[in-house]
Amino acid sequence: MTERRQWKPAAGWWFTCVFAAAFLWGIFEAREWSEKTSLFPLMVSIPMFLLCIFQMTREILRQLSPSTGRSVASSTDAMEETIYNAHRRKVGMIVAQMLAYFAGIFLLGFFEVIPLFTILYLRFSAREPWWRAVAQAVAIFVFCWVLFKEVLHLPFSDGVLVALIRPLLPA
Amino acid sequence: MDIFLGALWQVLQWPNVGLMMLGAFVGFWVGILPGIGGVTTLALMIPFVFTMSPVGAFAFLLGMHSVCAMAGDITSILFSIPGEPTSAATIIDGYPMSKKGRAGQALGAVLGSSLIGAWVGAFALAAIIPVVRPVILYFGTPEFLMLAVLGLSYVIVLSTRSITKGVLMGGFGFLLSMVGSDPQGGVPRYVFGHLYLWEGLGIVPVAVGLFAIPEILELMFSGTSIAKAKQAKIPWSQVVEGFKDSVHHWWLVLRCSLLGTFLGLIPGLGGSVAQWVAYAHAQQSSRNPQEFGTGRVEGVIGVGAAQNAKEGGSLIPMIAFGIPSGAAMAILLGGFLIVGLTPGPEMLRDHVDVAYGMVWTVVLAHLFAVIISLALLQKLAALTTINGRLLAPFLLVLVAIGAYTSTNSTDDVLVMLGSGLLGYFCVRYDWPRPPLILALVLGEITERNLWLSYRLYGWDWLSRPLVLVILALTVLGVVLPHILAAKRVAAARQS
Repeated sequence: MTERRQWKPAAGWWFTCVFAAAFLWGIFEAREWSEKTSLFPLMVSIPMFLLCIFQMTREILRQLSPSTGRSVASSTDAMEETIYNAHRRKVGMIVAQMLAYFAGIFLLGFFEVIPLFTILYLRFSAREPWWRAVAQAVAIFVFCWVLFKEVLHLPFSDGVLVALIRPLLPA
Repeated sequence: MDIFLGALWQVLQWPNVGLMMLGAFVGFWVGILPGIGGVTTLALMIPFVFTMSPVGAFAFLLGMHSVCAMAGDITSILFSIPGEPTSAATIIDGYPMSKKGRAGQALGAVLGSSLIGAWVGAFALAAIIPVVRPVILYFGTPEFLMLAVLGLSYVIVLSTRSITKGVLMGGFGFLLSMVGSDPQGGVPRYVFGHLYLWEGLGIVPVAVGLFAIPEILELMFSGTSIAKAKQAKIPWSQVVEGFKDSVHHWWLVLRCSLLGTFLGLIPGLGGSVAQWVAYAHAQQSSRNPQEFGTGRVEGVIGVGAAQNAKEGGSLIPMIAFGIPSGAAMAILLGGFLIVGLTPGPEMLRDHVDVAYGMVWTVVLAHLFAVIISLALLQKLAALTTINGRLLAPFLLVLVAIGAYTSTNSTDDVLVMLGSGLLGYFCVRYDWPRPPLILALVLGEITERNLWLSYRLYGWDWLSRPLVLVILALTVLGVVLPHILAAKRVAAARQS
């Protein structure tokens, strides 16, 4: 007798859902446009949405198939769970560091955040000695300043916080 | 022949040769730095040509533009960061070679094939000008549309084991390309009320984020160097081996060069399509197609040849008709007009020596770029042996500034970040990234050509002869790999 398996959505399945939602939204937005504006969006979004449904269905059937071995819902042993959670924590921390870096650029500006992030990251995350962290921060800062500001004269806008504070400073 | 050789003499004269070398040197560093695109730098350098002679001006500008793609391949191989959007395909096999400690071979192969490809493209430019006019005029909007579909289908088939995922990524790329004002009526689409999105999503922030961010995350996570096989320095024997690979696969280099030249002369296509079509061709013609993506040198050679050959090809419509084939050519055209050169039939009639001078500039600039690359190779490749955590801050700065300089807006950095997170999940769940970026590049062209074709011909454009030929090639490109794979499986079962 075939064992009935319970289906639990895998993370990859949710990723497909995101695409389905995007295409569905594309169809929804296009419904009020003229023919020439909506022709391409509808020609792309409708078949892609249907393809997403097909892909999601296929993933469900694959997970429920007896030949795929362990189902997603089956439990792992405690050691694997610990390793998996540690991996997720480490990835989460790194993603958070990267997001903090870009948030810093947005709030403070490029040339304020570049040396600060470099020092903090190298010292506390990469566990490099202070002197190496500071030396690399200075080197990167000088390289960027000379190339992008002095040679290429690229305009860099102030960060949001700096732009707010600057008018309040005495002239 | 006298005019052809006389043009070489003109380019070799001082200060023209000095300006060409300066342009090539600048173009090399622009190509190396991700996000600082050749197009942006061309625009920045235009004011400097006011004081130059016509020959000096095109030697400088063309020298700079010509080597960007070659230099962009270097960062693709070493860091999986495309220095130029047209260098993305080099990552597929070049970066795995780097991780295996064969960065020198990959670099030697890409430099060798790029040089040969550039020369093939340049001499094709010289030879083809008299015959190109009837070919170009026969291509209408339906044919341009089908060429875009052809290029995208090849990318989808090659970049993933799951065609469904590849098609969905391509479709999503098309959806992203629709953000902004529609090309037909200027109606804003999918802009969420943000003025920034009216211009659409920039290719540079999306490409840099999609490919670079996941790799930087991996470097930060693993804490190891890019090259998993440690080596003190790249043996020159590895580089020479790479060069020899380019010569050994001369037939592949020639085919991909001609492919790149042909695609380069089609306005609106060029680099982004050429690299993937060449990669597709290299894989399909290989005896070991299943090994592509793991570090096959043919994957690097084919792409290098095509994307540098297309430079010569992309000059053809501009020189022959005065029609720029893309943004870079449009800026070059502006520079030429400033110094009194008018590309087009008039140039071919009255100043054909100038046209041939451009050919020699492309030839010599690439040779100079190879020399610079070889001189700096050890320093550049040594970066792959540095601990990833030391490299990560520098790479993050490059990608952030690279994305920012697209339109000098922090919104581009946000787009790059969003693309980076998407790229991370694509890698995590094994969804291919190349179809998205190619569809994003081709989206506007495809939509415009689709609408024009529909308005001009109804749906009868589907029955045009050249459309049917390209459609057949597309179907063949999608079906053939599966047939060959099924044959290999059947043969393996029998044995």
